[in-house]
Amino acid sequence: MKVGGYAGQILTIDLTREEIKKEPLDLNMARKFLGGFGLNCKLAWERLDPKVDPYSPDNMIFMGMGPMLGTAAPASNKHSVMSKWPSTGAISPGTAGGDFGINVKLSGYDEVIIKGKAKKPVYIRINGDNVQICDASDLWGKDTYETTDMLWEKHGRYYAVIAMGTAGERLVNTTICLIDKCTSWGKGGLPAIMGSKNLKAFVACGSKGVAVADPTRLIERMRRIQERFEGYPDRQKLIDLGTMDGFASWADIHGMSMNNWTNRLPTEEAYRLYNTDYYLKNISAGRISDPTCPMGCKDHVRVQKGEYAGTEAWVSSFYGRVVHMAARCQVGSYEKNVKAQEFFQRTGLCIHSYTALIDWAVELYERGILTKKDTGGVELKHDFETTMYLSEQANRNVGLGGILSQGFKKAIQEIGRGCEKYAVHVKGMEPLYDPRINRLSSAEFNQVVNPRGAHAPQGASTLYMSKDADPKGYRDWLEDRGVSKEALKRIFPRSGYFNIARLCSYAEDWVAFMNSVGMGCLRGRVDNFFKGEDWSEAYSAVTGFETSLAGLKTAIRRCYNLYKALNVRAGFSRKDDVFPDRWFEPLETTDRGTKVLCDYFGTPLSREDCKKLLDDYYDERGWDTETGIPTEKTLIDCGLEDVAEDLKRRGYIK
Amino acid sequence: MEEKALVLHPERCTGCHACEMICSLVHDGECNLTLSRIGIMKTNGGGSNENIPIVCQQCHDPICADVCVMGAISRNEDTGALVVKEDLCVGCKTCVIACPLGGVLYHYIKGCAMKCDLCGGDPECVKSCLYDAIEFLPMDEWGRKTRLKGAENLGRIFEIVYK
Amino acid sequence: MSAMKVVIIGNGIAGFSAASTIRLLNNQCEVTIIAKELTPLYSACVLPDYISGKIPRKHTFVKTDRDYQQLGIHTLFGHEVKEVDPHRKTVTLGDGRALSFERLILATGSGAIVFGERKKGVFKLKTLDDADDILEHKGSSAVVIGAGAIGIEIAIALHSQGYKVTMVEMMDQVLPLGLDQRGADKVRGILEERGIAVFNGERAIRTLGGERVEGLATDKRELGCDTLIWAVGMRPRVELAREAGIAIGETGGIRVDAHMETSAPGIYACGDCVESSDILTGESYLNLFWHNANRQGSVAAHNCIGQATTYPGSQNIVNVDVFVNQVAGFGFTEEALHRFQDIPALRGKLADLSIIEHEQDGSYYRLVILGDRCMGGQFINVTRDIGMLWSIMVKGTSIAGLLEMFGNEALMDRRPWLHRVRPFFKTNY
Repeated sequence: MKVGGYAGQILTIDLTREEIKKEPLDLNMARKFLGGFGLNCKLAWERLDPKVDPYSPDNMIFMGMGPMLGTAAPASNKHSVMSKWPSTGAISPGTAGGDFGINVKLSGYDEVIIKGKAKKPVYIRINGDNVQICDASDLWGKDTYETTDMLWEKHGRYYAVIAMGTAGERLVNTTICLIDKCTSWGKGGLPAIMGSKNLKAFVACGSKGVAVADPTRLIERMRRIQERFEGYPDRQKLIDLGTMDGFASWADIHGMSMNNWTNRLPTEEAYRLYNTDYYLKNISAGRISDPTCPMGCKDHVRVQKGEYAGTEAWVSSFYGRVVHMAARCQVGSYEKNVKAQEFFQRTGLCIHSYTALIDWAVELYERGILTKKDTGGVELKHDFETTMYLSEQANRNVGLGGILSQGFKKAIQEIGRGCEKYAVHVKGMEPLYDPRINRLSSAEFNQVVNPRGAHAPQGASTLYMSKDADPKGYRDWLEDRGVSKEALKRIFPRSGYFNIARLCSYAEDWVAFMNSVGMGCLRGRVDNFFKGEDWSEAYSAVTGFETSLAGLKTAIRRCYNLYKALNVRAGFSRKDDVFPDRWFEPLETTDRGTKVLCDYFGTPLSREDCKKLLDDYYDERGWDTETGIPTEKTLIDCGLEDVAEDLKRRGYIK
Repeated sequence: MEEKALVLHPERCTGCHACEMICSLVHDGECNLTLSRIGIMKTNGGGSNENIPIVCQQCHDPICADVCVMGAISRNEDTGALVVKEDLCVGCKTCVIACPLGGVLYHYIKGCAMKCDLCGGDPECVKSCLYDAIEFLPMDEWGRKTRLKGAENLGRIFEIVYK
Repeated sequence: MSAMKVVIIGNGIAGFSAASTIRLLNNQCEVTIIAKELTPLYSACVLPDYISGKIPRKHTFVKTDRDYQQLGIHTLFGHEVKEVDPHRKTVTLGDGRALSFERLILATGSGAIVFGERKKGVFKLKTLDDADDILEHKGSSAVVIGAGAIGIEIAIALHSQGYKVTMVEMMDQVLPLGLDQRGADKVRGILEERGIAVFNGERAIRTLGGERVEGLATDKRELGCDTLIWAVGMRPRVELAREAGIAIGETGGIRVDAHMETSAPGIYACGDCVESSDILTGESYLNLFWHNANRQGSVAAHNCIGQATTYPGSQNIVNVDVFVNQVAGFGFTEEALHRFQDIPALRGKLADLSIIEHEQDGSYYRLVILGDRCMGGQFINVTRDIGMLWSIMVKGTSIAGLLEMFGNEALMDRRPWLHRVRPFFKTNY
């Protein structure tokens, strides 16, 4: 039976030597690690020095495309990038949809690896067998939109473009790249890494095909999945609203913390400023989808009237961006919100990351830890002007804005003066979800244990837990995704309770799995319509490797353990899996009373309780509860004997 | 058999490529954007209609059939589709360059023209588009009106005369 | 009316198109095709592919004998027509038989222009027999006289069969009817890169050799060869029409009106034998292309059985594959506009000529704009969206109007297909 899905080649580009190398993909390795995220982990394990300086030419960028990517399977579009991020020092992934991944696949590559440093600004062009390192001198200094437009002009609109903006050129850490001006990729500083390599952009356009071993079987499964979407009565509403379909959730049912995790954005204000009617009337300009996604959610926004009329941007996870500008920066009107977003998108500043640092800086200023001497004479407030002032500095990597833009780890070092006390971060990255408001659910817990640092949502779990929803739904989901009966017993030991830590491990696995095979999405609007067997069916139909769900899950446990091992080698252990101190302080809200850290059922959690949860998490993963490091047995059980050997040799495993 | 036609609604298209993936899969057994008979044109990042599906409109008075020097393009009486007879086609691409819509393309592996054949009367792209950007409608009064509206959104290139 | 007798002289695409269209519209008409050649319809356009070996002989046929039977078309293949009598409404065959008609369609086509002696090894390429002869000849060095589309295709076909090929062209450039100088020079460069020598601005004077051709003398040099191909154009076959007193146009083709009717009532003409009106200017001249013949046959058929239809006009569309470089031309070249500057449609307008030209990464295009209308386009390795440009030319769309729309994003929003055309009109490269 012919093999499908995998393109069969690894492409390595050495920018120092200006060499382009193609090697065949070992299909046995591919089956073991699936592709995408998993394949990135394996190749990073073999080729990346865990102690490398993120800005060094020896740091590498691994871009992995899963076997399902570029096929007709629904929601088959996620591809994964892995590197050592400058903001955290962690070796971890970033995930994105958009047209780049499919075009790399259609050019014939499952993996693209970048290393070295170019002598002067370059961009990489991938067009089937033709791979070139091209001169980017006229692109350097241009923002993401300009760069993308220029590359489309040059090569044609059929090319997908990854562009880094001006911030990355100045090695700013809290940055992301944009794919086709819209999809963000590489939170944690991909642009900074690219900037350190003099690499401005990638363009890709492929005209080969992705083989499908059994098209009939794939189409049969596709139709079943599609029927579930078509049968959903509110489908059109979800498409119209995009990610703003989550508005009621963040504005009302849950909430967004503000004033640096000491308050909550009042529901009434959220509705007043950012309601969905206004979004539809004055902001929304179009809906964009990732490839083959049945419930597309990316936004084309354009302010129609009022101040900043004409401001235009393309944004993925739009509602999340709105929330950050609204709660952390408190910019005010929707128009100002979009205007600020546009600036971040163009420069490549990461909205998820940098807004958290702005929020922190304002508190530091209010406490007198930062003064006008640090700010350049400007008073820091939670408003649009402060946001633009600091982010403008960040873009140029100057002043206080520049210091903040290096991320928490470096900013804390540079500012000193006890500022760390007020910094809410895990491993240097900025959490999104406040477990005091939302209760400690899977996304919240994942922020503590994710090897990448507090990252959501791509690194987190797919189970969006809505308060007061019947936990039976979570049990059903876990069972559907192949979690064993024994594990389910440990997660649900008695009625009226479930162990979030143990549960989270399986949710994490599932996201990592989707990012490895290249199919699926952790957004509920997509994931809710999929069943576990969709993946095993589709994977078998596309690749021709008959694989059950259990077989796939073994592979993903393997990948996740390897992911953890990569970061163990980079120096991470239990000591880094911390609950931010502020989470243990009560949160005084203006409209919802006082909130404390509690579990899904509302039972308050103490530090001791959280410590116990961490123990449970490591236990469920088969990692040493003292160190948080995978045990030798765990590694050997999932076929990573060589990893166990290595960690033993380095003294991480006794 | 009643006449049915593909009706396009570019304002609903999100550029997800699902139609292109399934078209190439059912016709050629692999997923390949350049082997799809329907194509998504993405405009250069401006305007609301950013994603435009482009596919043969099975013209009543087709220029492709006119220019074909092998008479390889003819109408299937059952489906109403203009179909390329691959064993006649020599791959000269005159139909490709003459079509005003970009509805006829070149199959670079087979070396012949390729175009939408309405999948024999049950178009797969329609089934795969979950945004209802492509419909397969009978050309009764309602169908024609809907199709014209879609054509309106597409720009009615033939109507642009500034005199 | 419904059981009308229609006779068609000629079994090229024009004749066959007429016959099959009549049958499509009317089941009762008696339709007879008389043709000199014995075979069912084949495509003369693909003969170079047959010579090169790209397609087998049987692939040159567009129809089979059975197709004619199934359509109920009587065929008299292998018969010459000696005389047409418009008054008695009869045609007389070579064997003396006379056929009567109620309507006659002349689709006698054109013949290749050849000069001088037909020594052994001297060929033209018009018919399947010609192609068979060339293949049988098995020469090794060829001179092709004429570097139009057909000449180039023949040269490439022979080249792929191992011939050493030289081209001689009277005009200063190759493809004089399709490209202006700059584009033509690129095509010439491609040919020369492959080892085909091209002499422009050179005239064939005399064939050399005795019984067999041994070379060609031009006005500049002598070229040795064992194969000589004439590819200098086609001449409409109008003898029958002329002798029947039917009006012939100035350019040598039968004159027809917008219904494809000749000066003799009830007698129509279509295909290479007619002078037809150009779709852009309305001016009548020779527009000898398969697609024009195809359409004219259909129009003639409609009118012949009483369904009044007008011919929209002939389209100058050139498409040649030059060693996997797609070369296409629509409408008028700049040079052609100058040549035709005195016709009513163009008189006084040449002062307002502008050119848009651009090349990038091996592709090239040129738009020729006269006043507010695009009159022609030339494209090398650009295949996307040029059909759309041709529509704009045919419609006579105001270029100023288009440029205005291109600058108005709100309007572009409602005309998204204009995004595909806008890149061609950028002038600030």
